Amino acid sequence: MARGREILFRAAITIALLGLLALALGGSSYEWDFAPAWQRRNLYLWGLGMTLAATGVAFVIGLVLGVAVALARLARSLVVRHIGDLYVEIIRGTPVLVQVTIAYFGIAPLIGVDNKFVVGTIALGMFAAAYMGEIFRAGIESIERGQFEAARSLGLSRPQTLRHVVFPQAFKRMIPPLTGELIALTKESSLLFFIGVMELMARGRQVGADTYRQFESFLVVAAVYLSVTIPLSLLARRLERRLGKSARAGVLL
Amino acid sequence: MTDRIVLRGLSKRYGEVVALENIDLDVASGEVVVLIGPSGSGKSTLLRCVNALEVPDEGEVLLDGKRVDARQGDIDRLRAEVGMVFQHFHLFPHLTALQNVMLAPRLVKKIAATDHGLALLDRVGVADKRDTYPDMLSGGQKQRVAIARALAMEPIAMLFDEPTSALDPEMVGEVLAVMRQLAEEGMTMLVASHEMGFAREVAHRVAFLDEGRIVEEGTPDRIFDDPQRNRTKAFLSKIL
Repeated sequence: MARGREILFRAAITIALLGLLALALGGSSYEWDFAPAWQRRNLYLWGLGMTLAATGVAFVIGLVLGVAVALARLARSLVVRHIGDLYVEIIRGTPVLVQVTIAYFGIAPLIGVDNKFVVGTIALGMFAAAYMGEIFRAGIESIERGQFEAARSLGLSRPQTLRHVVFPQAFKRMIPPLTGELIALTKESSLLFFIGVMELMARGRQVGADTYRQFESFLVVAAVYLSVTIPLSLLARRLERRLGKSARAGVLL
Repeated sequence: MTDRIVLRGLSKRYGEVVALENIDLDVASGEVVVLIGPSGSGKSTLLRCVNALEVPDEGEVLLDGKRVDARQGDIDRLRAEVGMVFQHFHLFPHLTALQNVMLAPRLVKKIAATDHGLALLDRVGVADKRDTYPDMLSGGQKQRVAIARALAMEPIAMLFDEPTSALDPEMVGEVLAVMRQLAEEGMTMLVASHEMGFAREVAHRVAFLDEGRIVEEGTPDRIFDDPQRNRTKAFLSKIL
């Protein structure tokens, strides 16, 4: 009951603050005109579509490559482990905008690929993999040693142990941070505008330039991003609460 | 009788700490050997060497005459031949009791016989919990499911690493009853335990370990009623 009241209270505060903001902006000397943006609403929708596509593809690449990164960093072979470490250090130590730029203006021409979307999403996916690899690694390492030992003592091989015992447990713990990564990736996909992918950010610039209404255009862009990230964030919090509850119950028994 | 488990000159150190020092021990088919001794005396390490969860620095472990070597290709198959029961159960929390029991046969032997799994749960008295997840089971029930899980691979011997030490007192009995029943059915068992009553009643042989060595071994009556070594006497006087 208390939770329901809190949600109502929060909603009321949010609406009040937005109202105050609207009053303040409306009362300023700036003359607002959202009509041109509204006329070009399809451009924003296409931009959103491109943003979601880039985010989705990059996320899937990040998942697959992230598992590989995590396994490499947990490998017994020092060579494999070191390659995994290097990958994570290099990706996390450089700005993603620099990586996307190198990928599109440097590597892509070398290998003869000229598709902005393909190059951009692969670069973004490789970037995400470094962070997601760390999430996977932490998840795998959070599974107690006894689980490995019980599985191995039953005759399961190392890959079988990972696949049937460790991953199913670790994955549950990784869902909240992975949702966070998905939110981050949604925002980071805006950098693809730099190489000319016509995603939401690029569409915002296009409309702003066409209509000489940058302020309005990017307020719309911000609102569209929020319409994606806020539900994801609420979902992540919900999952975290649910998983937290079951984990606590496990400790008590 | 043939020797199921043979330990020859087994030694294991962790840095400066000696965990096992030149251990020789034979466990015959159908024999129940209980290892007693203070915490840190090496009981657990000894059991873990049999299952290749630890690699000894020196010496060897033979299972039915085959050498256990963690680096060998067939180690997974050899591991499956001895069942291991842990102090803290280590049931798979994402699987039901029945799924816990059937996982290894399904993956390793490629058989998914529900009947077999249910029969095992029934044998340890928890068939009614087949669809229950571990966190909804009591400690005693968890350990009995863990025993059924180890039995599912039809092992030639069972290792028990202080199977009742993490249990509430009122649950110790139900687990010991299952172990007693296994012993009566002729299972070869190597048990590390502080349950002296169980050792006296069920064991064919008791070995007292201290500081990584087998100080004394013999029939339960001899060890408990007529210990020869001072360290054995001192330990027993504290614990009995």
